[in-house]
Amino acid sequence: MKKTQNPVFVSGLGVISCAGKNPRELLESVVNGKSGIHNGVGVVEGFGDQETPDRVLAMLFEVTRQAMGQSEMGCLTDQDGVIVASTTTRLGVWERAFLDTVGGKAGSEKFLEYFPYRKAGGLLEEFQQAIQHRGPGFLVLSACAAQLQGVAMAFDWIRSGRVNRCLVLGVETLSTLTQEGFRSLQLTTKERAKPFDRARTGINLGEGAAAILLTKDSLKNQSHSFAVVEGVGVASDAYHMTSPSPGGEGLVRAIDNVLLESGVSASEIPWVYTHGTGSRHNDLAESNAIAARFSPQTFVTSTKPIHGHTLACAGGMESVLAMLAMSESLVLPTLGLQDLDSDLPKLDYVSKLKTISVSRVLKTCLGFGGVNVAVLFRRTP
Amino acid sequence: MKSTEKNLTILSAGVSDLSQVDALNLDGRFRRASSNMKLSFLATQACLQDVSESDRAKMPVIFCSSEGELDSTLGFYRAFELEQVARPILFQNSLHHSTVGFLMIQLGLLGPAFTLSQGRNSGQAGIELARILFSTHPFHKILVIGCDVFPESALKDLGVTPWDSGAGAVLLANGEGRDWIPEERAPGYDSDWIERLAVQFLKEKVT
Repeated sequence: MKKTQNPVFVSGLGVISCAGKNPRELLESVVNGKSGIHNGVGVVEGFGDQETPDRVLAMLFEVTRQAMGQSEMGCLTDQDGVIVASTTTRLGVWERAFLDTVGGKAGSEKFLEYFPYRKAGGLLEEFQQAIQHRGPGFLVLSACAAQLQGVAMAFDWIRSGRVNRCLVLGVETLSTLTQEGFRSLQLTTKERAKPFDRARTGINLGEGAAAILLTKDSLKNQSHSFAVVEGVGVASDAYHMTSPSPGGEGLVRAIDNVLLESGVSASEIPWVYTHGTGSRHNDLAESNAIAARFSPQTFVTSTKPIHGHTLACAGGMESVLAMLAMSESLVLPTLGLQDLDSDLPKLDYVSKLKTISVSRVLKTCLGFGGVNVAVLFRRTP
Repeated sequence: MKSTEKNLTILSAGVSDLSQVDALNLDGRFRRASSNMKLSFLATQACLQDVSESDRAKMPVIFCSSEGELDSTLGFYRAFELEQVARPILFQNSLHHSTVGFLMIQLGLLGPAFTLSQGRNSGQAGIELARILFSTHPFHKILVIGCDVFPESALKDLGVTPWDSGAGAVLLANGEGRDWIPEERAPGYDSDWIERLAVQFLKEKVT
């Protein structure tokens, strides 16, 4: 039985990535198979280098401008909320100062100058001050599922009646910690990532930002809407610090929450837009979870070979692509998928662009610490 | 000026400080654990003593920390700069969300896990998220944890003004509650709002 609850609409989208500086450009890159990955990483040009203090804020401002411009509903008020998601916030700004100080290349003065940037919460504060937003906000650091979890939180926040709209932002920039850390776990590859392929050798880290503006039902006539959020689910693996449980049990529970909450059955969801990092463990766990609830005819996509794994921002960036593609009757392919890994369960792993109308797409994300998130989007007319 | 946390039902609470973590060092489960993980584990374990397995399987956990796993992050950098080695355990522990990920594994918690970081408002943000989740989902209990650690060995001699270390956890229930005035004291660490609520709850329980 379908639940009767006020729907939450998506009324603005924004993206910056290594493969496109706005949602339209990025969608075109995916459609044309044009990857922004070079030497195994996806770098965003035009916003300064990793150590530029305002680089992260500049990326947030740009995706905010895009999303708010599309919504045609004016600036955020104190009745609206902001959620910022990241894993590193402005780590790239202060890590060099610490490395130089520890290595004896600089005195502690430089370190002390940059050390205040370590506080993740400062990013939300500065962002809200800069856009003169006096309403409530959250800064979410729930690993690589953070921005999709932010969408889930915003969905609940609006339904609780505490805010009318919520701007959900994600941002991630490359840093020594993330690049060397993922390398130390033997998860990265210099080749282009090949999710679901037998020959996949690892993930490509990427950077970027994404924005999704969610709006309550009663405001829907004031703006174009890209999709409706129908349900959300969050659950944990409690299995391993950096690997998902092989059966994907945590993600299954997250998917079950979505189905229960939305009243939509798995057979009514034709497309799952995966986290699909291209690592051995992720692709197996995620596919197993999807196969536990969905039919073998379900379309399965990962676009990480185009824009890289943008960590906390991944769920937002890929949700933007999912909603845009759905509105244009496209099901996006996984670039480079040639020889499907036979260990994966039977699903329709999409390797070529499909022009087909789909009514719903489920976006999934997995993260270190065993966090799993699923969000169901329905196409609007 | 007193701050109040309005209309809150606290079922149980736990607190911990650094003097307690040495006791965990002989336990193999904590061999790779950071100080944040040990402190948070102690506070949370005390809070969950009477919570059933079925509640543990569904209950949301909200982890609040301003500094996050700064000790592990700085440890990773030191090893990388001085030894030219990227240590995977320090990397995995450096993530803000790793603290709650560790707790979920050790305490068999399978529900939604959230990590928030908002400076001195970190704890209050966690309580606010719990209120939102209670109002939109049929959750009966939600666990909120606050923890921060000063990484003394990494920051000594660098001129950083130290902050306190500690952790607190409160188990909240849905429904009508009462107003709570957290224990009054000098600022300790950024996310200490949860510990102060926990201390106040435990004081009243004793009396």
